[in-house]
Amino acid sequence: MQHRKTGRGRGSRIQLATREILAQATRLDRWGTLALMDISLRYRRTVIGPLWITLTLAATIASVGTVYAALFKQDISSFLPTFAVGLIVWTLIATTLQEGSNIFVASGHLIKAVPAPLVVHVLQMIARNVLIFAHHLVIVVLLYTVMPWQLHWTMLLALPGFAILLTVLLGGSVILGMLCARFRDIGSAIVSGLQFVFFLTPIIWTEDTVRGTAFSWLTRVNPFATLLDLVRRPLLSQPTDPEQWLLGVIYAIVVTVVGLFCYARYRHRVAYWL
Amino acid sequence: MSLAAHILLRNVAVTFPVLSFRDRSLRSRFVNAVTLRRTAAVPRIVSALSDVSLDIRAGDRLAIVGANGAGKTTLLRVLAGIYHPTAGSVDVHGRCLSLFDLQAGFDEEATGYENIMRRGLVIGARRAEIDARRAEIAEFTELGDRLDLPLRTYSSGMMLRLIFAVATAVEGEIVLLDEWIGVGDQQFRKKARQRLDEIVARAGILVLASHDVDLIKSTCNRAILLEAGRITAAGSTDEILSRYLGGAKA
Repeated sequence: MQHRKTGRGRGSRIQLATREILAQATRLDRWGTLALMDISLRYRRTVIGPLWITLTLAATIASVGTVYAALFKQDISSFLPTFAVGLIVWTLIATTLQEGSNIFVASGHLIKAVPAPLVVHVLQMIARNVLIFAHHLVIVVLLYTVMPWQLHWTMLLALPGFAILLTVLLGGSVILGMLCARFRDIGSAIVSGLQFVFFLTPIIWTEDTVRGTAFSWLTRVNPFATLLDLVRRPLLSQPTDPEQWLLGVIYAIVVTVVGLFCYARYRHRVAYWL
Repeated sequence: MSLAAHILLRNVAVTFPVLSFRDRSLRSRFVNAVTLRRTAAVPRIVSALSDVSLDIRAGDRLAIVGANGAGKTTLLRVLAGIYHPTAGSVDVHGRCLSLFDLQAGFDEEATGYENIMRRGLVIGARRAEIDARRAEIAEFTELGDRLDLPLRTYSSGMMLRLIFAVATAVEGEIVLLDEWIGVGDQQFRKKARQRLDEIVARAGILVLASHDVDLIKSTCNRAILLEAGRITAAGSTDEILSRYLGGAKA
């Protein structure tokens, strides 16, 4: 028989929170199906569905990519793939963090109506954005057929890179979502903050263009640049730095620890803030 | 009837912070910190429940009565596990079937069948479990082929049929009701009433928040009176109802 008890249960608060998150993380049928439905419902009355977002992104990549390649006097066959993959991964990061900061406020009516672990809403949102990201990969495949780059086994490193990125996004969404439920200005701050970070991250410019200038340190200390590169460089068969992997893992651990702390401490308070 | 169902509340309190614009904004906190102003620091707190202790055992049919704003819905939400009390402890043995806010999780654009799946997943059921019950739910709604149409094309009566059928398809030893659900046209109303009666009869514990005196008298065997978040009286339904109604008249 199901048993629910508040107050001092077995294990510490962190242990209980970890158990809850792990139990829900394995319920792919729950949040995965809901995420799939979200997407199919949003584009129900269109013919090409979520590929519309992909098409918009492709238009940006084609126009901005060619103009910037000309402006920065870059070789278009190396600049365009870098820019395309960079923008696609950035879109995943930015939309997830934006939606993440709003996640508990947006699911407020559900949170107050149905007893469900909060992390489900976050997992559903991330799954939705990963599915859209998967649609965008069509652009990468198309680009490859037009201006192929070398395929190398190191491309597989994109998978651990992606895992690190998703860990950061999951923890980050939990933290920002809770902060934003409590302090409503965080949401707007995130939107403008992300705009700022976009220009500080090597997406429309490359590391090579700033090498030796005052800006080169930016690519080293900017966590977004590191996380982005751990997915982008393998996908383009470019070598990755052990230092970047170490940094990536550190970021993932820090965000996970802080996120877990917030989840353990505040998950029962969120319903009262909505 | 499951005999092991058991609810034990000890000194439960629920307080809401009333987060006004000022409190919510990080800017005002920052300004206060910089200017060393200490005045506006205390957020207003509304106490929705205080010192609520309850021992509900299998076989109990508990009515919660009280004026609007007395804390009936908050207490049901605490029992359902939506609100975690700010003080005291809640110990619930048995699966709760909360029959309130039934429309949560439904989507206008999705078809009837998809909404059966959505609502099921939202309340935490497994996909296979929902697939297994689909036909049974569909049959109960009597909506037939219209379950393939998006929800926005439904009349409110049709929608209520679907919502009711989905909500009552799950089993639970503990049934939580915020007012009795009455749905649809005469014929469906009868059917719904019958199903609700069955569910209540099967349940180990029923907790019903209601203003309907006749309903409480015919359904419940215990009652508590809530006033401003406190249990001011507990006992037999007749006793509590006369006290509640007497208070209302006075």
